[in-house]
Amino acid sequence: MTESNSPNDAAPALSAPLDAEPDLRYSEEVDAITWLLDEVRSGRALPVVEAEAVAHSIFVSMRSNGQTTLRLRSLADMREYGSVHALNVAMLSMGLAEQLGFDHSAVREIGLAGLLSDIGMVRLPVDLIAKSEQLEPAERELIKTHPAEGARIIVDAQTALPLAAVVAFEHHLRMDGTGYPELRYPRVPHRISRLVQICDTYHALRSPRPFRQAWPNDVIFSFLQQRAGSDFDPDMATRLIALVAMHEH
Amino acid sequence: MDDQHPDFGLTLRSGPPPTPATGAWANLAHVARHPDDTVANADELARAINSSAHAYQIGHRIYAVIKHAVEESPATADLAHREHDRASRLIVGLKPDVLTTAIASQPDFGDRMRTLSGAVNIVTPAAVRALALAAAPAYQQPASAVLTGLLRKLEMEVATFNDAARTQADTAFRNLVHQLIRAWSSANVETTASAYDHMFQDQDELDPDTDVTPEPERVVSLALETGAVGSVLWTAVAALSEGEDLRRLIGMLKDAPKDSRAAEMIAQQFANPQRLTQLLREDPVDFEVVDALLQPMKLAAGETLLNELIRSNQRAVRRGIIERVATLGPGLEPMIIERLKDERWFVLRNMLHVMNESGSPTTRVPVAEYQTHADPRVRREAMQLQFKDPIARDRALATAFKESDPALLRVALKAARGGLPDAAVPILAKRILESDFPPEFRIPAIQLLGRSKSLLALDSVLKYVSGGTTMLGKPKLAAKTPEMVAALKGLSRTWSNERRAKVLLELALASNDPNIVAAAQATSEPSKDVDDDGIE
Repeated sequence: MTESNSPNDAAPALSAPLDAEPDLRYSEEVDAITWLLDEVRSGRALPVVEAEAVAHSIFVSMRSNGQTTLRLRSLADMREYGSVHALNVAMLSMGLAEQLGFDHSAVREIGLAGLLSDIGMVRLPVDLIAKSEQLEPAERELIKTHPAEGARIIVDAQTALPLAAVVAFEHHLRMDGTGYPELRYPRVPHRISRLVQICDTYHALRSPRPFRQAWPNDVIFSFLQQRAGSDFDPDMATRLIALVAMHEH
Repeated sequence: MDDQHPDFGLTLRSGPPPTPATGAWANLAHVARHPDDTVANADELARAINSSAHAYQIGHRIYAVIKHAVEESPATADLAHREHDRASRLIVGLKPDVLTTAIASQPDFGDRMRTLSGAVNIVTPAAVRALALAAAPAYQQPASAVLTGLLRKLEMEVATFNDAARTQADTAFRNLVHQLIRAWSSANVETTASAYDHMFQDQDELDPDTDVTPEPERVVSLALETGAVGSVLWTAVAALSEGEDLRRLIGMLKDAPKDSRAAEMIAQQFANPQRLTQLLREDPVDFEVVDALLQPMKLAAGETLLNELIRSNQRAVRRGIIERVATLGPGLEPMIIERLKDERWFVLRNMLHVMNESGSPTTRVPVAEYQTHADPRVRREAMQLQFKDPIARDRALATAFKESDPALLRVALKAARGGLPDAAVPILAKRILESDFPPEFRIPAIQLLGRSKSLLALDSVLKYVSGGTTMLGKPKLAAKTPEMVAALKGLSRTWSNERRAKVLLELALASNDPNIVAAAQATSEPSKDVDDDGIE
């Protein structure tokens, strides 16, 4: 989710509401992600092998006809948002990573990082995530804790997922290291954090939320371009726009 | 072996010597009471094993077959394909818990991981899934329904995708199972932070354009910022444990939040005597880094610091160590006492010096014994300790003034500024007149005597001021010398009302020499000039 990078939450209705027909693509992966999130929400350790299996499964499914196909799962039920968002961010991240020339192993690792980037949201009150009104300042501050929470969840899993931990922590940082969380050790976000960030932002804006409707691509593209270089990595922004546009057509 | 054991009476059929795999298959067929020890049909053998009463006792035989299938190199691709197919059929045909028992029969996790990974490379996708699902409980990591479902889906996709997609799907599927096996194996082997020390060793140069592994510093930053601690962190710490990297890591720790659990654990992880020794033997020693290491170690650093203090032949290093070891407090005393058994002068000197600097109680150390040590450097340290002891001080000073070693005399004179004990007065008074008394200490010694209220001191001081009598029998001043002026000041300050002193002071006040007049007017207030008496 991209609270800090999102445009005005009170933006006008710009796009279609929830899909009327249920989208059954990637159902097993969505179910698996839902289970993963529930496991962590209930206080258990992150099931890392299942998370890796999901990333592999998405990777394989994206190549079902021999070519990489980016068919994002649409949101049929707002309660599915967390799982569908994770799935689609993983997919977009893998697509973008492939375009950047990473090998398949790295692509899957990046996909896993995208998948887990918002895992920290499970530590937030469910009511807050589902809130249909605009967030109060205190609630926004609470939302800003999710990157650190996500990093803790991944590191505490006692399995070596350094990239996923870093991406979870950094995916709301701007290019100059500002944004959130506040850094004690100033640094530019990792390249893959910047990659996942743009995918996360795109999908968050493209999705309907309780407090606003989904944005159409052209508006999102314009938003990303305006903030490229300040909030977002300009190269990543350009490539994501090209990637989405290519697959849309 | 008893008669009931399935291995009992094992014989191989006659004929040409079997290949290892042939032998393994034959052994398995035999113990499973399978009639065809050529095992042309692995499905049948699997069924025979499943229905055998010994199915759970022959795990090591099943494991051996899988291992031989992995290790064997058949002469032709066709033979290899047939062998791999046969192994796949056996794996798929076995009951999952029988296969789990077979995998668990190998207690060596390294061998188990090599065999399983090798098998994943050669068996069919169905067998890959069967192996993964059987391996999970063998590693005490039961597979969840989600994992089972996803493995089934991936296996199906390999089977159903078109040719173009199949290869990628197959590779990804096998890659996932490799990862699972590695993860399960690691979970069983690497249970402590220290197990990660070997990581990052002998690693190839990473390509910054394609490698996505975050820099260790970034991971450590994250851990310090969030307090998260796990294998990810230990891997990064292990990568930053040498040279400049270590300095950077320590720099990060110094900037860490005060209550950072991660910082504390990192420090504990790498702050150990070995690393401290290593740092103290560097040339030059970076005490900033040493300090960061000492912070978590506290008293645990004592032994190492004392050992390196004894060992180092560099004055700057010794001074740096002493400064630090002196802050460790009374807990250091047993370590010092242990080292005082060493008779080498420099060891004794250093240990006594540490005691001096640390201000530790000295009740358990027989310091007085060292005051008569043959080496003046040892005596000097011992005396300094004695000077700090209110009970031993007076006697120690008296003894010290008998010393001929200039350094020791300097220390004693300095210590006596706090008050010259009466017992020491005659000794000092006598010493300053002796030819081996260093001339540069004469004035400080006279100043000390001049402040003493002992009559013996007065007599001594008067000798420097009095010039005897004139021809007419009147008292006169001694010729002006620095010693005379210092003594005159002492009379003025301490004995201005004493009869003999008064006569000399009056003569001095009538002098034409302004210095002598000034000395005779010296007040009785504590002198500020003690720091200018030449004793540092």
